[in-house]
Amino acid sequence: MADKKTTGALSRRRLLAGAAAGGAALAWGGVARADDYDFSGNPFRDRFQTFRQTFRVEPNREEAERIVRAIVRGRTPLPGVVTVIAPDIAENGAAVPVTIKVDSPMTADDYPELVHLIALENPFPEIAKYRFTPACGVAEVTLRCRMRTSAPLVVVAEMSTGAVGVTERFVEVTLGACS
Amino acid sequence: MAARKDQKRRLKIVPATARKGDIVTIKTLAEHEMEPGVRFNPESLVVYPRFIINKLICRYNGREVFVADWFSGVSANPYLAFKLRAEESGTVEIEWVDDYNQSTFARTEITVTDDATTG
Repeated sequence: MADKKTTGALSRRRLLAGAAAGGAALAWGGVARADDYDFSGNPFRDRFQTFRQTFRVEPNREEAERIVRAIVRGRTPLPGVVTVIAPDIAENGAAVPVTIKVDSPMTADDYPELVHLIALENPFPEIAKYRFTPACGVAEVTLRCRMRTSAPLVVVAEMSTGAVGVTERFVEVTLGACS
Repeated sequence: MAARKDQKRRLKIVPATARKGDIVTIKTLAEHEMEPGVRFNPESLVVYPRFIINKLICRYNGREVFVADWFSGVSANPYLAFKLRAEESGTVEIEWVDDYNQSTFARTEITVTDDATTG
């Protein structure tokens, strides 16, 4: 029964991937569950990342979604805060160019403290965390990431006011990377 | 294991001369293989251990203004560009920290002219 619910939400999310950012963001809000957090409050698979892993791990979509929910923590995402610029079709999954823009006044009490980038079909979904300060002036960052298969990229921006912004962007990958 | 000498670290500020309050772009590139820790030798099945740059710190006149935490999903030879508000002339320093806690640095100067002097 629980599994059925998850797959239902999944297909709905896929449909929404191409829709407006606000609509996609709503899929992550208000769905905190008891098993979404570990005891220290960290996202689950992130705990492996604190060590140098020397074991092989397969991608796990549910684990990745749990990480996103653990970051959002049941807060309702604000629409239109985060903009993600990425190619619709990336030929090389080893270097997918991604630009993240966060709409913020960048004052001392309102700026994006922590911006997460997560690919849902990677063995280690969390790709990067960026910590901005008001001295940046504009919260914008460009990077290249690895993607194993076609999957949504999820960007979660945690603002210093406690608000959160979520944007999902589906990227089609022709040739996947090892990660 | 020290950082390899043949792997260059690049840092560029565009534009290098700005007026106070302008937004400049900082472009960084580190040459690094970024071994993700999930690849393995198909014959021996031994997994190559993770070896990545896990942290990038930007300091503007000694003050931390931007920090990036990287995991194995960042591409090889990681490129990163971000914005900075020009406040005063000085040094912009980028520090890359790898899995062996070895740091490499790149520094460059930024020149900031006041609105009053440029008219």
